Amino acid sequence: MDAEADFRAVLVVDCGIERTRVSLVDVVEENEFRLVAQCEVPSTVDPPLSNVTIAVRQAVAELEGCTGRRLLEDGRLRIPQGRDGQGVDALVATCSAGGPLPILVLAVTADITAQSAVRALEGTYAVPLRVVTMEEVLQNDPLAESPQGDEVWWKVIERLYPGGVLLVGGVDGGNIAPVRALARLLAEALPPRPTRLEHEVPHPPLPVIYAGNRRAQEAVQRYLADRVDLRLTENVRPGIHEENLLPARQEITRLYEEQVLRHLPGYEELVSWSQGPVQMPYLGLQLAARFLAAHYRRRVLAVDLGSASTTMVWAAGEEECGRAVLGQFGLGYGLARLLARRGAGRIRRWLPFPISEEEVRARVLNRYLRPRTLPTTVEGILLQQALAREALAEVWTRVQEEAGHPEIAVATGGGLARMPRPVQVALVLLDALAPTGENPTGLVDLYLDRSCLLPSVGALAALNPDAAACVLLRDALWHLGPCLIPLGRAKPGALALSLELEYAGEMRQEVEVRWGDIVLVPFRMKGEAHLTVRPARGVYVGQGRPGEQLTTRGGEMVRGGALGLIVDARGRPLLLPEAEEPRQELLRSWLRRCGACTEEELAELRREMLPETPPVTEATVEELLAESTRSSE
Amino acid sequence: MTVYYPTFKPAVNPFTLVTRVRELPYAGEVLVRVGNRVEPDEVVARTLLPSRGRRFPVARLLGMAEKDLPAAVLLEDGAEVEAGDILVRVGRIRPRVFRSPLSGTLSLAEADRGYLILIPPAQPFELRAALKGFVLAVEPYRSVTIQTPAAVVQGVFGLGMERHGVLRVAVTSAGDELLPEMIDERSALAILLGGGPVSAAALERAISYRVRGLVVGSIPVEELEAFLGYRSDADWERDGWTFPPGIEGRDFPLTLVVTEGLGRRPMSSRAFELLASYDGCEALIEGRTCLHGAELYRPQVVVPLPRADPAEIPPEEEVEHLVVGTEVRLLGEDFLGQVGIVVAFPRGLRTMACGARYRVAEVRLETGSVVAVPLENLEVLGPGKVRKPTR
Repeated sequence: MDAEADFRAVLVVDCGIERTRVSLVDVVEENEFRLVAQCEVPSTVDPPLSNVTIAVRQAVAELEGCTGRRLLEDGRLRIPQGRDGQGVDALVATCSAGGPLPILVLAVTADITAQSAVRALEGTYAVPLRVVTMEEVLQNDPLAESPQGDEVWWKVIERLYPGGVLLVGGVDGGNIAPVRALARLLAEALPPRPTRLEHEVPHPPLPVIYAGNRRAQEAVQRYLADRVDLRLTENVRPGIHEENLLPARQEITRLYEEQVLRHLPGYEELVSWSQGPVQMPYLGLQLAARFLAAHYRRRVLAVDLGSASTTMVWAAGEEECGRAVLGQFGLGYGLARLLARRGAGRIRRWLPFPISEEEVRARVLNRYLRPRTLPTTVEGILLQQALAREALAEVWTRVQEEAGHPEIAVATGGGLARMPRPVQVALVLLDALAPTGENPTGLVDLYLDRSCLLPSVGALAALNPDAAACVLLRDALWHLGPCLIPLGRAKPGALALSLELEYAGEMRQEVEVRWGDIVLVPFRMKGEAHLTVRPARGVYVGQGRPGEQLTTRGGEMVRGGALGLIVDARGRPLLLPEAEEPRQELLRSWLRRCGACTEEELAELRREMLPETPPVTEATVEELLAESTRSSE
Repeated sequence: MTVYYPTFKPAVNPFTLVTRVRELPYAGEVLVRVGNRVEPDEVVARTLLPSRGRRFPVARLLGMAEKDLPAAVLLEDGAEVEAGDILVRVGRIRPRVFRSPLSGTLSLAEADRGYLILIPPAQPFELRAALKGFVLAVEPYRSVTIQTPAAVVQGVFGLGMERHGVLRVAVTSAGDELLPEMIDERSALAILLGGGPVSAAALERAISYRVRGLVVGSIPVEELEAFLGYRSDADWERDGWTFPPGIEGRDFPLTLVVTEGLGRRPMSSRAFELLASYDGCEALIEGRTCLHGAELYRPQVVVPLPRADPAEIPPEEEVEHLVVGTEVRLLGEDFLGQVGIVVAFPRGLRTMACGARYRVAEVRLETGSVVAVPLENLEVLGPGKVRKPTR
C-alpha cells in the first residue's frame, strides 16, 4: 500500500474571517477522489465565542447531518476512518480569519525601493500601514522638542502591535550612509526604556525586517540589534533593474504567523487537528493556478474575492507565476478600504439606475458595519457586483503588466461564488479584467469555483496530490464558457463578426454579432464545436489581423460551457458614457442581452433619483402655490 | 442556526445585568471595597501616569565619543534634576556643558550609546466609576468591577469616550431629526435622545452647549464626514477595525451613539421607546466601536436601574435564541431599522427578489405585512416576553 492510499476520506477546512467552510473529500467509484459534501457556517473567531474551532465543529456536525456519516466522537474527530465508513482519515486546513498585519515601511526614498517593499507586502496578508521616507523622518525628528500630533511616524511605531517595520533602502553594494542614518533615527524613535515601570509586563520588542542594501546589514545591526526584534533578509531591490521579493515575503509571512495566526483563539487546536501545517489560502490558490497552467498549457489567472482580502495569482508554463494580495480589501470586512481606494464615483458608474454618490457611500459603509448581511434586492445585488468589479480592477491594475493576457480566468471566493447567476460572475470578470484574448487561441475560458475549494486544494495537495487534482478538475471548476473578444474598431451597431459553429455530424449554426453588444451563444449539443470567426473590416480576434478569418477546423474543437460561448464585442478598453442616462441604458442593455437580469428585475429598478427631503423654504412654498393655481386654471 | 449579531447580546434589552471593569493603566491605589455603592462621578482608583522619557543625543551635541559619555555625567542614574542643571561637562580649558532642558528624572540607561534620557514627572490619574452601581469585585492595585441592573441599547457605531449624564428626550418621535435649534442651555451636561438623523451642525451646537452625549438613529455620510473633517473617500482608509476609521486617540468633546446606520433612517421604535421611557434618568453612554477581533465592541447606552431586583432578570440563554416569537431588527438595506416578530422558519431555501437563494425567517413587521428575511439580516432585539422592571 502506498502512502497516499492511507488517506481516503479527508476533511478540508477553510476558516475565513466571515465564514468557515468544511468539505468532505472521499474516494467514490473507480478510486476517484470527489467532493462528497460541503457545509458553511459563520466563523466564530470574534468574542464572545473566540475560538475558530467552534465553527469547524458546527460545520462538521452539519456535514454529519447531510451525509449520514459519524465524523465526531465526544467532540473529537473520528480518525482514522473505520471499516464501517464512519470517520475520516485526515483533516487539512487553511486559515485567513486573522485579518491583516499592519506594517510600516521605512524607506530612504519613496520611489524604487519603497515600491518594491510595498509589492513584497502585497503578496501576503500584511498591509502597508504607511510608507515613511527619509524626508519625513528628517522633518519629524523623534528627538525634536516641538510637540507633534499622534499621526507623526514615530508615535505610530509605539502603537504598532501587532505589526512591524519593514526597513529598506539602496541597492546591494551601494552607498550605506542613508540606510545607516535611517536605522539610527529608527532607534531614536523607539520609546526610551525607563518609561516602563518595573511591574509592568514589557511589550514584546518591535519586529523590524531589514531588506535593504546588504552592505549596510552590519550598521543596521549595530543600531537596532539589541533594541528591536531584528530580522535580516535579502534586499528587495538587489539592483536598480532587479527585484527579489521572495525572501522578504517569507519573512513577512513568518511574522504574520507569529503575530496574528498564533494569537488567533483556537488556532493551536486547529493546527493539532490538521495533518500538515495550516496553510495560507493564497498559497493554495497559487498552487492550483500553477497546476491548471501546466495541465491546460495555457496562461491562467485566478482571482479570489473574499470578505476581507482580494487575491490574484497568475501562472504560465512550469515556472512563471506570481501573486498580489490586498489585505483588508474585499466585499465585507474590506469594504471601507475598497471605498477609499476606488471612490464612490467609480463604484456608482456600474449601477444601471440613478443613485447619488452619498447613497452609494452610505450603502457601502452600512454593509461594512454589518459585513455578514446579504443583499436581497436587485439594487443590492447590482451594487455588490459593482463593488466586485472595482475590487478586482484595483488588484488587476497592479499585476496586469506582469500577469500578461490570461487565456483562462478562474473566479473563487464568497464574493463571486454567492452571486445568484453564473453569467453575473462572467460579466464581472469581463468588466473588471477587460481581457483581450490576445493569445494563440483567441479565446479566454472563464471558470467559476462555486464551492470555494481552490484555496484549500493546496493544503490537500500537500497530503495527496492526486486527490487535489481530481477534486480541482472534477468538482471545483465549473466551466462558464469560452469568451471571444473582437478587437479593433467598428461603428456601434454595425456587424462586428459572424460566427459559424460546426458540430459533430455536420450540424451548423451561424450567428452574427454587432459592435457594442455582448451575447451568449448557446452550444446546441452541449458539447464541442469547430468555430469559424469572420471578423468585419477593421475588426480582429486574438492575434489575427483585421478582417482575417480564424477557424479551429482541422484542430481541437471548442468546448462550450454552462453559458455556451460568450462574445464580448463591446470593444477594448471598455468605455462607459459619461452622461447618466445613456450610461444606465447601456448597462441595462448589457444585463438584458446576456441574461444577467430578467426583464422583471430590470423593471423593478428605480428610474429616478430618490427624493432628498429638502427643507421647506418660503420660495418652495410660493412655487407650490403658483403651481397649484396654474393647475386649477 | 446561523444568525448574525455581533456581541450575542440583544441589541435592545429592557432588563439585564451590566458589568463594567474599571482598570488602571498602571498599578495604583483602589479606593473602594466590595459591596460599596458608587456614583458615576466617584473616583474608584488612582495612580500616577509615567510620562514618556525624552532622549537627548548628548554625545553628538558635545562632539564627544559615545563611550565617553557615562564618565562625563555629573549626576547618578535616577537623580532628580531641575531645568537648567548642568548634567554633563567635558573639556578642561574651555569646558562644554549640557544643561537639563526640563525638570524630571535622569536616566543613564542609554548613556553608553551617547544619549541621556530625561523623564518628566508622572501625572496623577483618577479613575471614575462612570456607572451607578455596586462594587462586585476588586483586584488590589489594579481594577474595580462595578455591576448594576440596567436597561441597555446597543448602537451600530459611535464615537467618543464613556460619559454619563441625565437622559433627555429632545424629539417627539423615533423618526424626527435632531435639529440644532432643539439644543439649548437646558441640554448642558445631558445625554440627548434624538430620533432619526442628526447633522454636523447639530453636533457642533451640542458641543458648544456642553452636551455630553447624543443617541440618534442615523447620520448621513456627508454630515459625519463634515464632523470628522474627512475631505474625500480616501479618508475612510485606515488600518485596524475601529469605526469611523482613524479616530483612535482623537478626543471628542461629546459621545455619539448611532443605533441603525448611515443615511437618513429613524431609530428603531423599540430602542426609542425604551430610552424615552427613562427620560430624566442617569445614563452611561459609550461610543467605542471595533468591528472585528479580540477588541470587538459596539457602542452602548446603559440606564442603571439600581432599585430593580436582579433576581427578576431572565437568564441569558433565554434571550439569545432566534425562535418563533423573537423580536428582531431587520438589517438588510431594504428594511434597515424596521422591527418585527419572527412568525415562521420556512424549510429549505427561499428565492429573493435579486434571484439569490437564502435560508430565511418570516417576519411580521409593525405595519402588519409579513416578509421573508435571510437569517443573516436579522438581529435579535430580545424575546417579546421580557418586560421592563418597575422603577
